[in-house]
Amino acid sequence: MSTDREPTRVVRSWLRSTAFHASADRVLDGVVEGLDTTPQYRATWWPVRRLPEMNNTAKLALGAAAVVVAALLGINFLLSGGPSIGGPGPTNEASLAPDPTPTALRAADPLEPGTYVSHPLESNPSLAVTFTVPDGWQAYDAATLAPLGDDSTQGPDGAAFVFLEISGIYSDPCESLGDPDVDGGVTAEDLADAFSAQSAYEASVTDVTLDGYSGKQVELQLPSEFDASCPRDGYFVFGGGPYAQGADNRWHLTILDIEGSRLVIFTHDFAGTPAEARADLQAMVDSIAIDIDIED
Amino acid sequence: MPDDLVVRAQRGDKGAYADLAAGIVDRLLDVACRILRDPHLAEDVTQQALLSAWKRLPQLRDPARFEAWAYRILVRECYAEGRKQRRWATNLRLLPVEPIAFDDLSSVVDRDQLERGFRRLSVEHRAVVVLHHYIDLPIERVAELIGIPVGTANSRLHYAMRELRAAIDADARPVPREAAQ
Repeated sequence: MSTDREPTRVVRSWLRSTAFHASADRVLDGVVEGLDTTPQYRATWWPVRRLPEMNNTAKLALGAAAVVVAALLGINFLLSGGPSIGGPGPTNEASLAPDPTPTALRAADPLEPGTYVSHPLESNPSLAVTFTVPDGWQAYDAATLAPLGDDSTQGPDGAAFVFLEISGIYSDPCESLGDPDVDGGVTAEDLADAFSAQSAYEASVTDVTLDGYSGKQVELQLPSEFDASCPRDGYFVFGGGPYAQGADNRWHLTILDIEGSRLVIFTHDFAGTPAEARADLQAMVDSIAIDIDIED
Repeated sequence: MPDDLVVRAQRGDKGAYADLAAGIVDRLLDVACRILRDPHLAEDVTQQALLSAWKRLPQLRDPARFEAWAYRILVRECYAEGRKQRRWATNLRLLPVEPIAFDDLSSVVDRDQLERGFRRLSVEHRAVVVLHHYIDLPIERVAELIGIPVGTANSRLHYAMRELRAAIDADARPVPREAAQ
């Protein structure tokens, strides 16, 4: 009987000769219906291949990324000078004092130097971050900045500054199609511990305080040869956010606990990133002032 | 898949994505049916895969790779479904599937043995068999699409085919009296 058959031929024939009563129309209806309730991740931060007809605004919209960018709620709430529950104020004397009239951060190329405000946490839109942007930067969206120029986030000399909300990380950054498989907990320490426990890349953790809020400073040294092992999907350390922008990418995460919320201030660079860009990144971080809206 | 359609969908154009999905849903569903052996589960998994692809589409770096990327997501969704099914393995039921031709399969017994043998495989093994022997991807492409080393893909294929051959051969062996009871 079948012992004499060549199994491959039999299996191929069997696979082709079976009919299933499945409805593609039903699937498609479900997909179309589900699009309204399935938000896309924010447009990828990685400036993917651009279409020739795209204008600058569209390019930035396409290239922008951040896990979360809350709707900008206007700028006047910070102008009242009302009480901040955010802590004692900037601790770094190098901080630039917040401009009395911060501008809502939005996509711009170039971004006018000055003081901007962002509401980067979807989980807590009342949290406002004010910071000062130097000359020579562009904004992809309300939470993502990069040096002027195309591909300016990418190695070997790129840089970027992003506000993030991270819920979990990938144990294998090359396998990022599903949701992150390592829970990031709820506190800065939880997330720092998650980074420390993984083995895919180097991580170091120290304590940090920014604008009176304490947290963890996590330094990640991403590998040199991830492209070979992640040929298509990129090297995603966590879900929905930036992915490695080139070999030997250095990620700097300031993770803060703020009134029950967790904010991640993310910058990255490379060994070849110009000193001026690195200084800009540090100045932007140092200038951060955090506030929380108090409703009337 | 037209790249501009993918890019428009990446920018949040739901109409463009609906067109993209319409162009690929038949093939994805076909593969899901053959991996999962259950048309209802396959519909659910394909829908979930297409919605997952929509969610993650802005992360796709090369629009030209959309279809292969969608297959990869589909296989991942099949894995997830397989894990769920394993939890209910004791209640596993064999849904009837309809043969439409017999070709090299000379008996219903063969077909049934193959069906049972295939269902005993893990979804990971089934996926390699379907991608290689049904949609005729070279094993290197199967490995790339699933995201595993070529050696692992070969190993899974070898194991799966050995099990399927054993399933076919079982039909030729006398049935032990105890087992038949």
